[in-house]
Amino acid sequence: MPSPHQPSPSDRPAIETRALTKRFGDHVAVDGLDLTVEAGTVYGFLGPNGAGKTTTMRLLTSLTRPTGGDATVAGVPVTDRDALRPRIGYLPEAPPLYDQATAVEQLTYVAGLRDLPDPAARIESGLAVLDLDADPAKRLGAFSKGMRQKVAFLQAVLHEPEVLFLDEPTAGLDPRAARTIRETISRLADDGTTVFLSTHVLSVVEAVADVVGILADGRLVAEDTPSALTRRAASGETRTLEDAFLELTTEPSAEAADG
Amino acid sequence: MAEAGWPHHVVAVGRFEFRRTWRDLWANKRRLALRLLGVAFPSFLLVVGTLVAAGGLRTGTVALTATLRGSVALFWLLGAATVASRVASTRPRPDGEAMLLTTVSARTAALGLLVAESLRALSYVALPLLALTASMVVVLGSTSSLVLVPLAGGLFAVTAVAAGSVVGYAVDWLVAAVPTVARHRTSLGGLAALGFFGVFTLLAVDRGGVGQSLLAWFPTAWLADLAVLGSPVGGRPTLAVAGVAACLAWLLVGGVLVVRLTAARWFADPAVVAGDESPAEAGATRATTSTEVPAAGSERDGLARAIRPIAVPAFVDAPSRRVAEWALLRTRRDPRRLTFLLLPAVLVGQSVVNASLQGDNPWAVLAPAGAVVLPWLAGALVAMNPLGDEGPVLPVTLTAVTGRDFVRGLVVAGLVVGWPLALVVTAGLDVLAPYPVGQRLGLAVLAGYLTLVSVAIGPAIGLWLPRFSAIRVGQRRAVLPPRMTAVLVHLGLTVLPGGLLALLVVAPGVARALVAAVGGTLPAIALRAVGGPATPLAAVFDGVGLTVRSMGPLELRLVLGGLLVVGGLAAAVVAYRRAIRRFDGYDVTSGR
Repeated sequence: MPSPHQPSPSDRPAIETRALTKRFGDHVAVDGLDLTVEAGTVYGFLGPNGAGKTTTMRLLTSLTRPTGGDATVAGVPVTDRDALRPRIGYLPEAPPLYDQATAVEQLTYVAGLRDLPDPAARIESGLAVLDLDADPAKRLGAFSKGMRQKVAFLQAVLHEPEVLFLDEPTAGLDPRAARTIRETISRLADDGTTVFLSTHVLSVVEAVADVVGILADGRLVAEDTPSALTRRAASGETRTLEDAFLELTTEPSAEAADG
Repeated sequence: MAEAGWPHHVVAVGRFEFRRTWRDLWANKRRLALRLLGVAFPSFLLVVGTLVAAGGLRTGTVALTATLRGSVALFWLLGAATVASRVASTRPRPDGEAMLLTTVSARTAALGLLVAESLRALSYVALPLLALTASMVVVLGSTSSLVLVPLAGGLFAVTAVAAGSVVGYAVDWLVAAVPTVARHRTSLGGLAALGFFGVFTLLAVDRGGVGQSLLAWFPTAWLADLAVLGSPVGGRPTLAVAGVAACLAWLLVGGVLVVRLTAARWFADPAVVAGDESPAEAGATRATTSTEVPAAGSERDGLARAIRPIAVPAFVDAPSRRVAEWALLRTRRDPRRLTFLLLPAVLVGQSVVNASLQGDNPWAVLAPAGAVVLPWLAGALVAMNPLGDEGPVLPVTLTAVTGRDFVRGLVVAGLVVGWPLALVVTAGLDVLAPYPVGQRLGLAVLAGYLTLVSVAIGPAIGLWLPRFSAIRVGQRRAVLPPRMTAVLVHLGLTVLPGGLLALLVVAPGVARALVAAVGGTLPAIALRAVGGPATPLAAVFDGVGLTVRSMGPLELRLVLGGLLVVGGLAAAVVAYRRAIRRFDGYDVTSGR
């Protein structure tokens, strides 16, 4: 695994959005989102299906243009794609891999496109950390889902991004693979990488997130540490983040009014 | 703006994408063999053509006419149209898009894909170019051809790719960005294709003052002058230089346009069309395997309502009916799936139009041609890629519906569309055709019969030659055209025997001569040429030829027509059963 970058000491947040909005026709996918994520934290981004999480990720990674508001990632406006690309890593829900390539070929290709120094050492180290000791001649099309996810994860962090966006990185993985990913996320954060993590697996968020934001109908309805959010849950014999999530996303407008 | 060192990255993307294509091809040896055959045949024709015309070429009596120049431009237009169709239908966005666009600039990605497409095109034309170069060097002693023929051919291919890419990305952008275009994309696409190929056919037919020579002014036509410079044919150097300059300028302009269009498309939001459903939403209405079918006309029967005015008869059992309705709805809502039919349809259509213009009455050819071509189209429309069309839903379909219901549903869908289409149009053409009533009736019956055979063998061919990549877990391509191999096999199995049957109906004498030649005389000549132990067999084929020639029209129709009809029905039944068995035993993991 490559040694993550050390972000330059700065007071600027890793991610900052102001009234960020995205409309598709009459449908408002992201509705005036105000968000601040401090550098070096793991930000758990939760929300029910269709809440606007993936659209937010696509806005923050410059893959789609905002309709309104603005946002910066690593101090760079999301409209400045060229400046943003070297600073971010993105693992979408469907791993963007080429079935015809082997893992090493895919990673070498991406490293080449990013002009990374010493790509072979980075790849070798990353494969070892993620326990990807597959047959080097095996094509990605023949990989298991967990193996593909790990390769895609490694692809997203190979260039040591300042901010890493992960969309459901552990979905469908077996416990061992999920733990490997989880531990790697924690290690990256310890080394200064900001991780913006969207997932429905609340146990992952509880385990690794420093701050949790809950999105409903495109609006941020709550934001706090996992333990604080859990304490806010009014129901449940043993209060959990799941209880808090369910309560907060049932009546998002009321929560939004609470601030 | 683009990242530092972007030209280097463009080459890297192009190489990587081309290598992926090559690996796909290498992994499928049957497809590779067909592809090789596809380039070997024109190469062979080029060599033979050069040898045949060698005398005239050496003495300079074969000149580079406006028609010859124009035919080069016409081929270029066809190549560009093929690329445009491919870009718009199957490759409007890059694979691994999220990775690629967060790694390199849109300019790098777009130009890299353009390089990859150019490499693919060059790999197709490499062998014919090699054959032409060798022929010109050896036969004409033209050493300059060593450089100029590959240069002209290379410019021909890459400029066609650039033009096709510009058009393809522009079409994709228009559909995505303009609500009116998005709403009427099926009819607009059909009109555009008909318009283009109508003009193409007019130019190719070369009659009444309209022909290839009209395209002689087109800069890519001047590549012919470049290719023959220094040879006895003697192209015009000024045109050759102008052609090269125009091609280089176009590559620059085309590259810029591709970058602009892709940047606009890849980061844009899709147009919102009222009443339109995305494929994913459309999938949500699907109830392929439900055995509980609401009464026809019921408000709950969304599928039946969605395919109106087409209707699947109520007597078709529920699962098959659902499969049929879904196949029809999918085709209607995602008409880009049908772009694979454009090229074969145009080639067939052009042959028909050409043939019809040779005689005094074009309807004499159009009526029997309609009775053959329309059934082929009906079979190819909805059932040529059953596994690929299911895409990620395939595992669910395989476990939810029996092969019998699935294949029967596809056949029903083909018949529901095919029978009215083939019968009505053939009957209309019959009215104008100069044939007696009996022959007109025979053509209409043939259209109905051939539609049945075509739609019955379509699913079997599609199941045996599917798009394997379509069913991989994680593969999310929305549009999955069938493999060209499947299309060609289906075309051959339908149009060749169907064409012979049509000849038996309207021109038994021609059919007799054709069968006698193909089944008797030609094999006999070939066997005699081989010599040795094969020679006695030649007499057998001579006998076949004589027997066929001795048959009267009625006898020929009864014997040969009977054989073809019974054979076609038997093939339909066998194909239907094999398709069911194939579906029931299909292994998603191995793709076998």
